[in-house]
Formats: sequence, C-alpha cells, structure tokens
Amino acid sequence: MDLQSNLTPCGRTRREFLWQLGGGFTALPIVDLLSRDGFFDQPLHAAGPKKVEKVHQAGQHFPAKAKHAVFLFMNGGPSQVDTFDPKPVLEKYSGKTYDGELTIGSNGRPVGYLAPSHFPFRNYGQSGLPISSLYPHVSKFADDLCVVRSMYCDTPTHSPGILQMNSGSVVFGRPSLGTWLGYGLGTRNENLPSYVVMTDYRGGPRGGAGAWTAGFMPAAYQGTLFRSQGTPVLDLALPEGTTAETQKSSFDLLGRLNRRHLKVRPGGTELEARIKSYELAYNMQSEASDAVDLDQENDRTKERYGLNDKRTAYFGRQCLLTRRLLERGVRYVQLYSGGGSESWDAHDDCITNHTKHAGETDQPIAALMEDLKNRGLWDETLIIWGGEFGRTPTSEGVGKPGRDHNHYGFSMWLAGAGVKGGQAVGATDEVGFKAVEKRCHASDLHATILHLMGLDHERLTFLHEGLDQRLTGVQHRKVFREVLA
Amino acid sequence: MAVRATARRLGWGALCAAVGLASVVLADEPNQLPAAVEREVDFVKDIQPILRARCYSCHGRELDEAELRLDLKAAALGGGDSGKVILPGRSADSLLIQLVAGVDPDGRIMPPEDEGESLSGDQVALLRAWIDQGAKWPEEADTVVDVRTRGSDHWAYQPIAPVPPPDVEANDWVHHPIDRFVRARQEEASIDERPAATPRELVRRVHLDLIGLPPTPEVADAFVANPSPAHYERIVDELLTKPQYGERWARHWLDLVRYADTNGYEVDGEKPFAWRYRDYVVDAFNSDKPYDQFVIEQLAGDELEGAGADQFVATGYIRMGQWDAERGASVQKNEKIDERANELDDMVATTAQVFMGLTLGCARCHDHKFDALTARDYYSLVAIFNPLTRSREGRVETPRPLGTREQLAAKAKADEEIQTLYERIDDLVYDLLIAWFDAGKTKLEKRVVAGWRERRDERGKRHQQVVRVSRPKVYAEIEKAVEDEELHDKMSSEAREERRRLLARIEELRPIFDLPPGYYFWEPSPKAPPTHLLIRGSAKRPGEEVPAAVPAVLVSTQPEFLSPGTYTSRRRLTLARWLVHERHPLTPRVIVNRIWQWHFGHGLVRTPSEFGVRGDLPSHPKLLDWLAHWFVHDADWSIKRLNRLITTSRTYRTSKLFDEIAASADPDNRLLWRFPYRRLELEAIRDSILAVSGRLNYKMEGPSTYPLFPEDAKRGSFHFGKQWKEFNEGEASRRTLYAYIKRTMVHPMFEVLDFCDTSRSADQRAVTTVAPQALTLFNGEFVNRQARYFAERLVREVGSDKERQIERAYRLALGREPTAEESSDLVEFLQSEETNVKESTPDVKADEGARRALAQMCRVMFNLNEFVYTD
Repeated sequence: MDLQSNLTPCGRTRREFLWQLGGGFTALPIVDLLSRDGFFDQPLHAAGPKKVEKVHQAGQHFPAKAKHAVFLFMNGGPSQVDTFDPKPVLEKYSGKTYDGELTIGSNGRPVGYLAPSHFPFRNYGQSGLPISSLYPHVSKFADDLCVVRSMYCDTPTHSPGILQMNSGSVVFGRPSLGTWLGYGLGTRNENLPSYVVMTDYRGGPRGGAGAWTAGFMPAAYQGTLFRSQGTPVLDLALPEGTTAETQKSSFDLLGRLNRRHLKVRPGGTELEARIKSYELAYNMQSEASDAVDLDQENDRTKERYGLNDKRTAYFGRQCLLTRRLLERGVRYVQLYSGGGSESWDAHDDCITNHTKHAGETDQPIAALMEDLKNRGLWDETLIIWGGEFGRTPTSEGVGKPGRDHNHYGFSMWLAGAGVKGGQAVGATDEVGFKAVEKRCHASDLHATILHLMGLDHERLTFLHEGLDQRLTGVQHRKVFREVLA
Repeated sequence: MAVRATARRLGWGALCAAVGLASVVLADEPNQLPAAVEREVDFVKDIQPILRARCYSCHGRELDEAELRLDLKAAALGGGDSGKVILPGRSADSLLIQLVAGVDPDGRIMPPEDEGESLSGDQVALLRAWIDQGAKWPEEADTVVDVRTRGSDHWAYQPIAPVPPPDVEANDWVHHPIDRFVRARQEEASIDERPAATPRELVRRVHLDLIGLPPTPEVADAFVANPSPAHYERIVDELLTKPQYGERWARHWLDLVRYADTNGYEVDGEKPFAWRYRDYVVDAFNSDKPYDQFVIEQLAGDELEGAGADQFVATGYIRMGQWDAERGASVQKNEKIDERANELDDMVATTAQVFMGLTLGCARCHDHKFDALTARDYYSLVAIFNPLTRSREGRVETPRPLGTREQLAAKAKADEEIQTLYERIDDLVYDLLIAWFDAGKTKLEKRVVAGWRERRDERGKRHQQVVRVSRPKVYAEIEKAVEDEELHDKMSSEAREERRRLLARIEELRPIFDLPPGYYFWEPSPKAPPTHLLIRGSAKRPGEEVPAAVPAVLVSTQPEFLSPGTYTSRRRLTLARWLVHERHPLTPRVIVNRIWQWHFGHGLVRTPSEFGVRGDLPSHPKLLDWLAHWFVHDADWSIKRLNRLITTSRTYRTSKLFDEIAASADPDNRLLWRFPYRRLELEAIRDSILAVSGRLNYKMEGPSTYPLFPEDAKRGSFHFGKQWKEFNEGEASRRTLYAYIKRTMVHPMFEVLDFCDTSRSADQRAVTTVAPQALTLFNGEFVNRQARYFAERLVREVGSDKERQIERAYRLALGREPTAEESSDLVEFLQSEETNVKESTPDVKADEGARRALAQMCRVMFNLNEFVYTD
C-alpha cells in the first residue's frame, strides 16, 4: 500500500488535510506539522522479537530518547510518605492535629491527625536515594530512579484524577497519553496494537475505558485491552467450530473476491485499505498469540517475575508480557495495580493495604527493569510509576492507620531512557502534604513524557471543536528539565 | 517591596551597576532585559495586539486586577494599585516592562505563570521601543479594539442571500436547481459530465441512505426492470414514509446531541428514561416535524404554552451530556462548583455547535482568538441555561412525571393528598400491624418490619425511606391482617370503615398519580439566578454578573428576552425562537449543510459544526444559500422535503466511478464529480447483516436493548459490567439504534466500527480501517451467529442446490446476481469446505456439513467490501 501517494498532505492546508481524514486511513499516524513537511511515520513491520529496526520516527519534533513507555499505574493513590518521600518529622508530630491551610476530608471524612510512616526508609545505591521498606526489589534500582516528589493535580476525587493523570483533563472523553503517542509516533508493529492496557484482575479503574479512550480522535488510537492469559485480544481466537484451515481458506476467498471487486473500481483506495486490514488481522492472529505465549520463557525467568507466587503471579505475568510486547515494538503499555473495589485507596488501613499492593508489584517491576537492562531495551524504554494522586500525611482518625486522598502533593518516579536516575527532584512541605518546590503538575509530567518520546507538547495538536487541542491543555505547562539525563 | 522601590528609583541601568559583576553573568541569563527595537513602532499595529492577546483578560473590560486596565488609554497611562506602570520615555523604569520581562526584583512576572507563557523577547523589545518613543496612544485606538467587530464580515454571519440557479450546458442537469449549481461549478472547472449510477446501484444507495437497510431483491429487480424517473421518485417517497427512515435519520441527530444511556465518569449511572428522548427524535423524523419546531421543543419545550409529555421529553436534549455524579454530589464545594460549570459548558457548547455551528469552547476562558465571540457572549449563553436544575438524590438522578402543566400540578396536589391519606391509614392500622408482627405472622423482611414498628412521628430518615419503598407489599399484608379473626379486636370497626374509605379515595386519585415517569432538567422558579462571568473560566473566580443574551456579533440589537412565565424564566424559549427566526444567518445554513452531509458523507461546508472564521469555506456557497432559503421559505423547515429534493437530483444519482482527469482537476471531489465512497456506519452494517440473515426484529422504540457483551471486554469496567442486562436475542436483534450506550463501557463492536464519541457533540463519524475491525467482523460472535442464520435462511428459501444458494445469497446481501466467475469460486469453496468438515468431524451428517460450509460462505459475504461500501 502506497501511503505517500494516497495521503501526502502537501499542497493542502493542515486543516483541510485533517478534515479529509474520513477517507479511510485515519488508523495511520498523523502528526500536526505546523512547520514540517513530510511527516509520515511509515509503519514498521516486525516479523518477530528483536527484529524491530531502528527507524527515523518521522512524526517526532526532535530526536527521541525513548521509543516505548510503560506506565505502572498504582490505581487508588499510593501514599508518598510511606514510599518515596520520607518525612521523619512526622514522628515528632505524631498524633497532633494538622493546622495548615489544606483541607481534604473527602466525602466528609475527618481530616485526622498527623501520622508517621509505618514503613522505615533506607538509603539505597550510590546515590543514597531513600526508599521505604515497601519496595525492597525496586530499591536495587535506586540509582536508576528519578523520584518526582512535587507532583500535584487538580482533584482529590478518583475518577477525574485517573482521567487527568491519563488525559490531562478531569473531563471524560479527552484523548489519553497513549492515544497522543500513537497519533504522534505511529505504530512500530502493524500486527500488534500500539497502545496496550492491562487492568487488574479485580476490575478496571474507576471510570473504566475513559482512562484509555481516544476521545475525539479516531478510535484506532485508543488503548487495546490485553489479557495476559488465553486469547490476548478480543475476537482474536477462531470462532467456535472453525478450523485453522477453514479460516485460511475463508480469508483467501474473501481476499480474492475483494480484489476482483477492486479491479473494476480503480482509485478505490478505501477498498484497498480494507483488503489490507484483513491481511493484517490474519497476521495478528499469530503474532499476538505468540506474544502472550509465556511458555516460551524459562522457569528462571518466570520465577524472577514471581509467577510461582500467588501474590505476585498476576502482576508478574503482566510485567513479563509487557517485556514481550515492548520487544515486539508496542509503543505504550499501561498496567494497573488495583481495580474494582480493591485498590491503593487506603482510607482505613495503609499498613495492610500498601503492604499488599506494593507486595504484589515490587518483584515484578524489578524483574521487568532487570530484563529491559539485559536485553538492550533499557535505553529506549521510559518507565513511569505512580497513581492518580497521593495520600495525606494525616490519618483519618485516632488509632486508624488509614490516609485520605491528597492531590496537593505526591510522588511519582520515572526511569529508563533519557531519565537522570538516582535523584529525587522537587519537594513537599515539612510534613509531606503539599508540593512546594519545583512543583510538577500532572500535565507537566505529560509534557516531560512527550519530550522524552521526541514530541513537543505544544506542537502535538489535533483540531477539534475549533481548537488545536493538546494533551497538556491551554494552561502553560513545561518540561521538567531536572528529570532529563 | 523595598527592593522593588529601590529598583524603580534607581532604574535598570543603575540596578545593574549596583549589582556589579552579577550583571555580566546575567547577560547570558534569559532574564536580561531585551533592547528596544530601533524602528518606529505603531501602537495599533505593533502594541495593541500584544496587550489584547496577553493582558486584557485580567486588565481589561471584564476585569481590572490591581485596579489596572490596559485596554483604554487614560486608564493604562494612569496606572493602578502600584502607581503608574508606563513611564513614557523610560521603558527600563516602567513597571510594565519589568514585569513582562521577568526582571522584577520581587520575582513577580506578568502574565502570571498559570496564565500562559511569558512574553517573547521580541514583544518586550517592541513594548520598550513604544514607551521610549513616548508611549503614543492615539485617542481613536480605544474604539477599534473591540473584539465584537472582528470577523463580523465573515460570510456565515451575513444574511442569507439566495440567487437563482445558474444556467448550465449539460442537458441532464438543467432541470433541477441543485444540479444547476453543482454542474455550473464543474463546467467552470472543465470537468466532463460523469455518468449516472446504474439503476441497481442507485436503488441500493437510496435504500441504505434513507432507511439504513438494503433493498429486498424484489424491489431492486422491479426498479431495474423499469428504471423510470417516476418509479424512482415513487421509491423515494415510499422510503420516506417507512418507519425505518426515522430510525436511520434519528441516529444522525443523536450523534450531534451526545446521546447515551448513562452519565459517564466513575459512577456512570443510568440516565433515567434517556430512551424516551431517543424515541422522540425517531418520531420527529418520521412525522417530519418542522425543524424550527424541533429546535424550539428541544431547547424549551417545557416553556411552551400547552406543553405536554412530548415537550418535556424533547428537552431531554439538554440533559444528554455527561455528569460526574461523584463530584456533583461531593461535599466539597470546589468540586461541586467545578462540576456545575462543566455541565453548563456542555449545554452551551453543544447548543452553539449543534444549532449555530459555532465553537464557543475557548470563550469559556477568554475572548475567542479568531472569532468575534467573547467570554461575555459565552457567559450570557450560560445565563440562559443556568436556571435549570437536575433532579437527584445523591448520585442518582430521580425521575420526574410527564404530562401537561395542569396534570403535573394535579399530580403534585394528588401526591400531597395521597401522602396524607397514607399517613392516616398507617396510624389507623398501627396497633393491628404491631400485633400481627408480634404474633409472628409476617412474611416481610426484618428491615421492613423494623421500619414499620416505629411510630410515624418517631421514624428516623432511613426508616422513612424503608416505609415509603415497602408500602405496597406491607399494605398487601395488612389486607390479610384485617381479615385475621385472632386479631379482630386490634382495630375498631370505625377504623376499618375509615381505612376502606381512604383506600377508595387513593384509587380515585391513582390515574392522576400514575403519570408516566420521565426525566428532564427543570427550573424550580421563574426567577433566574444570577450568572457571573468566570475569570479564566475558573469557577472559583467569579467576575461581574452578566445578563442572558445571544452572541453579539450575530445581532445588531439583542432580541428582547421574554419576561418570566408562570413556571420558568423563558430564557431558553427566547433563545430558541431567535435561533429559528427566518432571517437567522446560521440556523438554516447549518441544518441544510448537515442534511447534505448525511446524504453525501461530506457537507458543502466540511466543518459542519464550525461555521466561524476558522471553519471550512463552502464548496458551493450559492447552493448553500439557495438551499437554506428554500428550506425556510418554500419547504417550511421540512426535512423530508429536503431529503426528497436532494435524492431526486442528478447530483445524487451520479456514479461513484473514479475518473483520472476529474480527479486531477479536483482531487478532493469537492465539486462532486462522483458520489463519494464511504463505508457504511456501524448501524447500517449491523442492521444490514440482521436484515440479510432474516433475523432483524422491526419492533420500534421503548427501553434500550442489550447486545451480547463479550465477557472479556467487561474487564476494563470498574463496575464489571453490572449495568449490562442479560442477553435476550430477540430484543438484541432490534435495530442498532436501540442498543444501550453505556459511556464507560461502549460495546466493543460499536467502538471498533467507529461509533461516535458520546462525551461531546459529534458532527461526523470517523471512518477508520484497522485490523481489529476485520477481527470483529470475521471472528466475532455476532457475525458468526448471523452467518449461521443466513445459511439457514438460504436452505429454507432455495433448498440445497449450491448454485441457487449462491445466487440467492448474492441477491439478498448485495442486490445483484453473482458473475459466473464468482459462482464457480463459491461452489468450489463450498465443496472443499464440506470435505473439510467431513474429514475433521466424521460423525457429522452430510447436510450438517453442507450447512456449516454454507455458513462459512455467508460469513465471507458479510465481510465483502461490496457489502459495506455501496456503489
């Protein structure tokens, strides 16, 4: 299929071009040029793992540090003072009322009393980055982590918070980060979706598919739900009673009839594209099934990811599958820890809750990081860890070790391609409530992620409702330079 | 403060000198003060645009922060809280420059960080030069800055001025006004006349277009046998009277009005009776409700004299947007007011786009950058919807009764009376009921018993609710209790008599009481609450109060707003009547363009919801105006007459055949030299499959249906698909229009086949072509199931002869006979598949093997390009 001759936008205005997207090719990446000319990222067909070639990502605004990104989404909001933002002073204030300016008290809950962390911190690596006892395995990679301690966002409510962390806006229906990446950079393997989402076995995040929607962009850019067992993608398996042989001959027959139909309809580019999409679908059946076939991994690997331990097995499978997908050129993978009615949302008991959720994710995340390093993927993969917000340094009541939502300040970390590891940047106030130094809004984080992927958040736009829409919205947002290597 | 005072006193040069060495280092810092440009600057050309773009929103008409205005000469030069900010001839000393250049010793910067980027060095250099050259500000400049005058000469804001259709040369094109406009443009571009579609192509095209279903083989054959214009017109007329027409065309409208069955967001609760609005739209299209009336009813049906159930349902348009119930019902005030602002934005933005083709979104935060639309225009529209309120209890929307105002009033009265009657009855039976409970005779749940045990005047809030909800079944038990001999002395005969009387009275009231339930936003009082302009769109920063008004650029004088009525403010009614005023420049143009788009795939203006200065220019401006004028004055806003006008044109009947020469002259086909190729929408594909398989359930209207939802696909849902009801095949086989749309869990087949985004108004379906569509249509449960039914149908209708089966399949699915080549291909396929089945499952009977092979062939038929792309 000759994309260039079908679609080259030269000679038309950008807007005209975008309006004509109804023509049948919107599945392919389109980048707003503004100042560019030829910009199509030719889809890269990878025959299998390791064969992903280095190609110029024509959609980029400048050279990328990262080709892939993995967002480890700690759904429900992990507590910063119990993970990556030590506040020993809380010991001193323990049990005292918080009399600062901030209020949370979500759903009428009591603001409570300042409460120290129950998880001791230690300094790790050459950098001496402090990490709590919740993440012993990840701690081994302390020198690779860049902890941003000054995160903040606009809402202390889960669903809009999840939306904002994914799409920049608390409003439902805005394209998510993975959508923008797909739109900007295209796919690297046509036989697999470029944007994969794996939810927790206990359910999806609050707001469901709003977190990976394509919003007003074509549906082709939305996240594809992947399962780590059985049939990975919906409708990938042969229908009941259809043998592989029949499937093959049916596809062949369809192709033959369609091509004959096309022959007497010259100029039928839409028709040609659809023929091609069936060929891709046929290939996807084997490629995606191959990607999820974890039996190809040896026992040692499975053990490292915690597949032999009930507690870590589920997230472990997802992390292992993530590595296999990255190897096959998938652009962006998002994993959810926590879902349905069980998440990091530790109102009542931070100790039990965080021990459980960190315990489920620590070893698998470390295994993934180790594999990425060993397999040459580290330098092209960006890893992001965090939730929709953090938690208060206060407990919700006397004697209850739970913490409330906190969007005023929280921690996230980045690692991998283009990230300066072994540091904590930004800071919260004395007690860890509000980000005060080098504040980083969720949209600043997005600007930074886009930057690492070679995209300028101000130039990556999509015309909708008369506006050049951006992931980072209309407010002034900036790349968090301190994060960059 | 002290430092700044020093800096200002000393001036920039002195400050640098005082800091000494540091200034050398500073030279490389971005914070240095750019030098003034050397040329002479012009205030209106060079300076005012900077001030307008970057300063006015906080220091202008809407707001004068720090008592400073920069939009008027006297105010700007006079200064604000901090004294003069512009010192003519001394730019480096002027606070304005220090702040915008980021060299304020206090570290302040303008615009503030959260209001956007700093000014560029070039801009500062211009401002400096202007101040150094004396800060000349021509008096007349104050009057030319008004954003309202900007863009007022834009084509779409001008009155509709129809001109007669032009003369054309081509014979076929002289009869129909549309054709004369279209052909004239083609002749200008020297594009040869292109052939018309064949009768077989045309009959299929017009069926799928008007009713969303393929023609039956009989109808197609009859037309092919006699393809006269009269016959064609008869087919068009018949299609327009079919109820399936409304089902097809309603869907176009539902896309625009962001129709869904749930509210979205975390709670994603059901919108009670959303389907009544959907049915209203189907009816409106089928009964050809004049468009002006359609607009008025949707925006203000409840404000009309004699409004009844239908008019209340029609205003469902307003409530179709998303609602974040979690925030809307939050105890935190900030969350609540933010959410309310988003809801009002949804109403205003949707209304502006749908009816006027204006995108107002950015005016929520600031004056529109490109259009003559101001933040004030935006909030004046907000003021029109602001009186509306949402019925809810916590995060759940609570139904409201439907009926005329008189019926609603009677019901309110009856409600009250019934409540009193209930209370009296409850008191009368209290002793008896307690005895009945004590004797262990009740079959009611503990919770219910506990509620009823409490005396009415002592009942807590929770028990009150329990009592309210359980009353029917408790009363049913009381019927047994009053007959119970053992408890006879627990209730006096007078009390028994009174109870009977009261129950009879309740039965009398019941017809009034039992009005059908619906849902609509309503105005609790005819007195509208105040509406404030929100600074930078932030609900936390209310500015001045604004009146209800329409966008100023569209009117020389504001329409006179009706005085409040008995029940409502009548602001929406004023807006609606203004929108459908026969001389409104936008409403008729926008709707005829949409109708055109729904026939051809593209509008004459290809940005159907953006007619502002950023929008597409019409490909045929004269045709657009002629149609708009004709629609209002000759067709009396009748959409069906417009459908008929368009579908009977030669333009509509043009072939889809490609032509090299025409394509080189007009690659985008804006001159309509061919009928555009466009894949059928999800609904037309799914409905056609059902029609061809013989399983389409033609039942119309009513509550939404639930297509089988793949278990796998529910994983992403927070609720794990709890709201998705059990699969009932007969119901699920109704037209796709009736399928339940759950915002956070759209059916995967819908999603993959480019169902519209329901979070905002959607003016055009995307057509993507991706592999997952192929997977869904080839491997998915729905198509495989229908393929089996299709195979059964073929056997039923023509028996077991393969060639006859193939012929029938082609005629049903594609409306034509197979070619010899196709027929032999398929026979071969069927034979080899039959052999496959035999070999893989030897115990299967021969006719079962043949049916399985046939089902495989049917699956291929549903996947053909020809099936989803009509000629």
